Amino acid sequence: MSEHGTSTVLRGERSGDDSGRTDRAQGPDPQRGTAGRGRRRILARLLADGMPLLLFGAWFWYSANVSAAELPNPVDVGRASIDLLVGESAVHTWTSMGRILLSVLLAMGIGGLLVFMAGVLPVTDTLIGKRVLPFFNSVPALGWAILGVIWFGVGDFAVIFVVTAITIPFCLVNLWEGMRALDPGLLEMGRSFTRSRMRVLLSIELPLLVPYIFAAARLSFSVGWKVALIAEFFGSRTGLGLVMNRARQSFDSPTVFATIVVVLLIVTAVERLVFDPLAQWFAKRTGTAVAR
Amino acid sequence: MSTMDIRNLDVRFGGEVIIDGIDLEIRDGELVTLLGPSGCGKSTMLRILGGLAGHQGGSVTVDGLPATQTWDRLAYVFQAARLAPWRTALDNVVLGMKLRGVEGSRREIRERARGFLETVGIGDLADRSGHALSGGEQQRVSIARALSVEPSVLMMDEPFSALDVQTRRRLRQEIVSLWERTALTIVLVTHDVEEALVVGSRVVVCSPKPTKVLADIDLDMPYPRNPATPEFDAYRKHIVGLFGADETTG
Repeated sequence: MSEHGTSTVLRGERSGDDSGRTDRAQGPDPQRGTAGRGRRRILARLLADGMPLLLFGAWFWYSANVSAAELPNPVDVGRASIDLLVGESAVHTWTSMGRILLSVLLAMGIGGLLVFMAGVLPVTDTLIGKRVLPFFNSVPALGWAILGVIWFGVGDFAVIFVVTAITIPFCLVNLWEGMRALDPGLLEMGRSFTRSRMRVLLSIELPLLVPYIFAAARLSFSVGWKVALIAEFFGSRTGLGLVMNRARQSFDSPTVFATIVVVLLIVTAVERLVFDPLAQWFAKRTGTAVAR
Repeated sequence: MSTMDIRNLDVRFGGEVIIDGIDLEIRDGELVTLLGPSGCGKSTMLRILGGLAGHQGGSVTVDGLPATQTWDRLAYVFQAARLAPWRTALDNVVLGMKLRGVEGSRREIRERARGFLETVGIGDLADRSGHALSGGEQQRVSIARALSVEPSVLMMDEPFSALDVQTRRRLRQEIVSLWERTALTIVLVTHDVEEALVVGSRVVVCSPKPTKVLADIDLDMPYPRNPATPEFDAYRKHIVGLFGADETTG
């Protein structure tokens, strides 16, 4: 069982056949007519936007009746969040961001290298697929976090080590899937034009892998945020994990909440503003569907 | 300028014999159609000629050299166009040239690629994305891509069988006229008797697995060929008869 399975890129028919594309706007039951479809869309919208608003209202109301340590007031949380995003404490947020970006790049590089090795040297296939991957897959995040501090002391390096180790399997699985899904017809076409492994790799395999590389980056980025805070909690004098730890010690609930809000905002914003448009661009460029 | 020579070719996958001791010579400038039922070893034979597949026995040479060394004199057109869907028609032709290592500046290569698209009649679709082309247009791009590396032999593996009837007929004629205009040697694999007779200057009839050559016929009919003529019909009956005989004995 692995949660990476959900990250597999879904690709549509590769043929140029237009009939392969389905109209997403169309409901499952075309007989219901436009009125029914419109009503359902409004209801879906109401649920999607209304429920969070309702919960937000409930939070507001309930926080007025309990102590701030148990459930802080949304206004205080908002103020603390703004401080973490643009105020004095923003340095912690961007420190975490920098570490995560670096770790994701490292994990992609290492994952890519391992997959490339399994492809070029088939003898290493079992080693990487059946030993290395399950190993990275199963070591607990907390285990890496504590080992990181023991081995590298408190600091940037420990955090980057931990986040990289945890995101490697996500990259590995995605790129592995990508290699397995390479269109054998296109590869044979490539081989019929050249015997240079490098040219085929650069001009055919790499472009075919782009959606998988992209899925790996996307998943690693959000997982990175989840685990970076744990790593920083133990092994760093900066970063949002440290903010969280300090807030916990001083019963500063608004800051604990604000840290969560900030991570949520950043991950959502990057999804919407970077990954979604990129996914759409790929889909348009290749005429294939890419997982969102 | 190529003469392809197959001597006593033997191919097995696992325990199964695919090709059983075939001898075949393809002479320079011929348009040979390899005709045989689906699933016989004719496509495998085409791949062996270009060193894309291995074989267990016999020898395959092109101009006296082993086929594994002469792959760069050949270019393939496959049943599916096998275009890179993220590239335009023009860039797909450029891709073929880049993979083969054709020399020239970026602009020169693009100009030449455009010329080959015009040769196959789709110069106006150069900037269309691969996935936005129709099946026939895609196959034209794939033919242009093969021509762009200026091979001495064009290898075509059932190139028209995925197309609709009209497109198929038109492309058959165009391949014949391309062959008549150039010094190209063409080897075309097909399972369609009519196609083999409309296109080929010579038809090599292959048996079902294990594949042997049932007949090797030089077609003495002028182009464009009309399937309604008695001559054409006689060839067709002869070939269909060969398969019938084979089935009763097999």
